[in-house]
Amino acid sequence: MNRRHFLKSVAAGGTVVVTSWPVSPAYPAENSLAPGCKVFTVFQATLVDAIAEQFVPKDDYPGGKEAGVVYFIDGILAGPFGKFYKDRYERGLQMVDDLSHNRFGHNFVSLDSDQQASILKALESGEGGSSRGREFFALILQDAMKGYYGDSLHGGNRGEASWKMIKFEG
Amino acid sequence: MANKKVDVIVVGSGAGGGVVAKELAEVGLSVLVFERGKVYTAADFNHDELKSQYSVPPAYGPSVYNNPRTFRYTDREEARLVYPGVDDEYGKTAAAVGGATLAYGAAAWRFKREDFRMKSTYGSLPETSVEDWPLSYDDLETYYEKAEYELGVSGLAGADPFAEPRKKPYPVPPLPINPQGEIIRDAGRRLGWHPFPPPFAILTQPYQERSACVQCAWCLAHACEVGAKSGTQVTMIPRAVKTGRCELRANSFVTRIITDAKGRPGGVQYYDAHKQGHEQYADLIVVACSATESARLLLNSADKFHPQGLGNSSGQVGRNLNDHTGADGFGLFEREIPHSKGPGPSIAFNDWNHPRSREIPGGGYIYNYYCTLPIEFASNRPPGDPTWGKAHKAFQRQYFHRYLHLGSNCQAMPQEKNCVDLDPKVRDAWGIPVARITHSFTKIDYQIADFVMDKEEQLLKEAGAIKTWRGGNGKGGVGDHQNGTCRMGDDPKTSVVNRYCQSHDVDNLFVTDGSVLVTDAGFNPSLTIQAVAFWAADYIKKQWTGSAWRDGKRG
Repeated sequence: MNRRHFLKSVAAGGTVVVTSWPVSPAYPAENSLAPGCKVFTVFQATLVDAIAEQFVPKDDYPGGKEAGVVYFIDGILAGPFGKFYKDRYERGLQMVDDLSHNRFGHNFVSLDSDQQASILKALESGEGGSSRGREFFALILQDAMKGYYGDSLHGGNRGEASWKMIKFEG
Repeated sequence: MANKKVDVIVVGSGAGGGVVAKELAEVGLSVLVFERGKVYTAADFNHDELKSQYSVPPAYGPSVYNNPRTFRYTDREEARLVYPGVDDEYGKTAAAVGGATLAYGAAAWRFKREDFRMKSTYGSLPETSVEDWPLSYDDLETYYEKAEYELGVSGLAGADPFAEPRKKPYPVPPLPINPQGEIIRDAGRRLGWHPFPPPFAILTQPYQERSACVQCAWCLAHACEVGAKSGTQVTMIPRAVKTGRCELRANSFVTRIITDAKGRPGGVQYYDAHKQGHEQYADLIVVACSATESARLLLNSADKFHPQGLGNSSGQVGRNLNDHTGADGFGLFEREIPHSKGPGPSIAFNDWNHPRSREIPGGGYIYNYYCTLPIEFASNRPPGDPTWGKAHKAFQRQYFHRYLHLGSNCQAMPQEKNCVDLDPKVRDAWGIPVARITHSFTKIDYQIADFVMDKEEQLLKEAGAIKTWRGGNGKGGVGDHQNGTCRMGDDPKTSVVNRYCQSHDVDNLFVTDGSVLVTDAGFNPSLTIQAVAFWAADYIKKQWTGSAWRDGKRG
């Protein structure tokens, strides 16, 4: 199924089965497992990093990427309950990239920060009537916040940076 | 494989089951407690927001894949599969020794007089099945006191001017007041309200060989590693086992109550941890495995004598499933309000629980909530505020210690159409039909919650909040306080058990958990469940005639 067809079927509310993914990478290396991940490919991990950085941008304190949010989410997908979420992540990440291509002609990670934010806002608001987009946005946002603000034991919140930031003593 | 017969089988080791097991074992009956969950010890407990009873998976069970349920708002819909932790509507009750009390918030309230007389006080409310209880506050007073002293409830007698009379003070003093409590105490007084320290089944000093609360921030939805929270796993169950007459059979899932040739309950079928099936016989069966699972067990026990389910000649088993609406108020402040001193709640108000004006039926107490944790805070913003990005992060930083959360458990009204029945298609990992939950709130429930949230915002503003907002209630689903599926009543046609929690249909069957609650009051239910269980146990002790009871020859 090509991307255009995929998007159309999503818009029409049809059932979409993504059998192999990601579709987009230009370089085969991007299909290999990301270092430190059990599920995400390099391509996917880079995309999750970029989304996490939008959700929690770096300022005086680390952003979502530096805090290792991607490793937390990868841990969920690799864990015993990954089954509940893996499909949704696969389709959702694909949706993010498809929308980026549609709007700006590039992968999400290649967009500038404002463009990235506009893509995420479109998903958040369910623009174009896509409830799937809205649902995926809610899922990855919730997981990113868990990864950034949760216990570092689970792979995110590296150096407990977020706890230092909000002066949380545990 | 059959086991040696005992006097009493108790199904479920939580609030209600634990009490009955202990009481009956202490007077010499042989008791066997079945618990589908496992024993958790302090080594399993942690201070981790991602590993609580509200996480995926729930930290203390039930196991996610083995225990689906189905859920729908009304019977006009097809029910969908829901899983523990994954779906909010599933309910949050742990499957563990201690049941829900293992990781509860431990609020330990006595209901008010009106809570037992909702219909007499407010009339028949439209769309609801509100009734009076067949017992009163006065019937239960002694048993509330017994529960408080068995648990070591902390509180201050006489501090709540709206509380019903009590004969004895609380066994241990209240939790110390924290900065949040001080702020709302002062603001409440300025408004003419009546602040007081709320009662908790949390020890504030050593009591009966258990140690006091260390005031950590990880209380609600977490188990207590010092054992200061008085769940049945550190109170009733060890005391029952200590008699030498009570066996705790954990990891054992009771799927059916079996009846004899006369149709009288005589034992249970259960699966052990290896999914091996067994039978266990007893003269008396006490069901106490939560409002959802107790109803499911009775319905799954249908046989030729009880075609609609055991104890269900009324057709009422599973009906009137109820749970509180949450009513939360949030406020932001300019000054810092450090909130590291747990468990959190230290001041409450009962001014809006059965307000004298009778503006609303029931209501709920208002209190400062459990310690705020970072992820919980990240997901709570005033309406319209960004939920991510630079501004969201700055908000975390600026307001984490300038934030006050008020909570309430608002009384919701029972409705007959809210129910637990058996899903016609879905089975669990043991092949047993699962509970199908049908639940939605009705108009009056939202009106009550709105009323209480108005008061919360008023209190926050008086306390100096620069911004306030409120929590929303979902359309339905079971939460922490599920109740009402085996309603207590005098009339066998409209209720499941009598005032002593005894089945109207078969007198050697009792239900002693939240299922028997007729209405749910604006309070957390555990102390009332336990008082009712003490009351029922007292009745059983007086009536006990050994095997003659099971043969139907009693009296």
